[in-house]
Amino acid sequence: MPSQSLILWRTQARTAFDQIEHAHRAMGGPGPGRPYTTLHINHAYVVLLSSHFQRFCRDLHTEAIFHLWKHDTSPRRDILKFNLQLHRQLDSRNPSPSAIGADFNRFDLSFWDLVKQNAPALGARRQALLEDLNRWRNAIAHQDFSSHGLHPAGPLLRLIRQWRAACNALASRFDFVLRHHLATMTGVSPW
Amino acid sequence: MPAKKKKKIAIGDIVNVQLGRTAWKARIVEDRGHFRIAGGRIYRVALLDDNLDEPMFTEVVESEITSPAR
Repeated sequence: MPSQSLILWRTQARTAFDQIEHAHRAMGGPGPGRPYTTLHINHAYVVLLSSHFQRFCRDLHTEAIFHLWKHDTSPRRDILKFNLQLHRQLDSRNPSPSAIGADFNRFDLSFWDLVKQNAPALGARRQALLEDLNRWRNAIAHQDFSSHGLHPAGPLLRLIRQWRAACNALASRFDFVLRHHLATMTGVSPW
Repeated sequence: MPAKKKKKIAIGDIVNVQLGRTAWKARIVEDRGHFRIAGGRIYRVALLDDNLDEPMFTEVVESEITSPAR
C-alpha cells in the first residue's frame, strides 16, 4: 500500500494535471491567437506541476516524521519531531533536488543516492528534469526569464509532459525509499 | 444539559500546544488535513515567543492541542 501522500499525488494532482491538458486540447485549432493562449496554459501547467510536487514532498516528509513519533515511546520523541520539522525547506522553497535532499537527509540517509541506486543514469536524468522544472517555475512565477537564460515562448507541452513523467517516477521512488528506510528504523512498515 | 460542542480549530486561532515538557502558546497558520499515520488532523503552527526575532513553525496533531487560548 502506498503512502497517503502518494495516493493524493496519484489522484488529486493527476486530476488537476488532466484538467489542464483538457484545457490545452480545448484551445485546439490553427486559429491565429492559439499560440499566445496555449503559452499561458503551459505556464499555468508548469506552476501547478511544481506546486503539487512540493505538496507531495511536504506531505511525505510529514508522514515520515509522524511515523517515527508514533513508534518512539521515549520522552525524546517530541524533541525529535520538533527538530525534524524546524526550518524545513519544503515549507517555503520549491521542491528542488537540493531542498528535497536537505529535508529528507534529516532522516539519517543519503536520500538522492538511494533514490538513484536502482537506476543511476535514469535517476540522474529525472533529477535534472526536476531541476529544469523548478527553474522554469521560478522564471514564470517571477516573470523573469532572462536571468534564468530562458525564453518565455517555451516550454512546449512535450517538455512539460516529460517533467510530469519524471515527477511521477520520482514520487513512486521517494515513497519506496522512505518506506524501506523507516521500516528498518522502527521495525514497522509505515504504509 | 447537552454536552458542549468542541470548537472547530480555524486558521488564526491562538491555542496551547504541549511539546515535550513545554507548553507553548501558538497560532494556527495552516490546516494540513487529516493524516492517517498521525491519527488525526495536522496543523502547522507558529510558536509564539516574545524572545524570538523570527517565529518558529512546527506541525502538531490535533491531540497535541490542549486548549484554545482565547
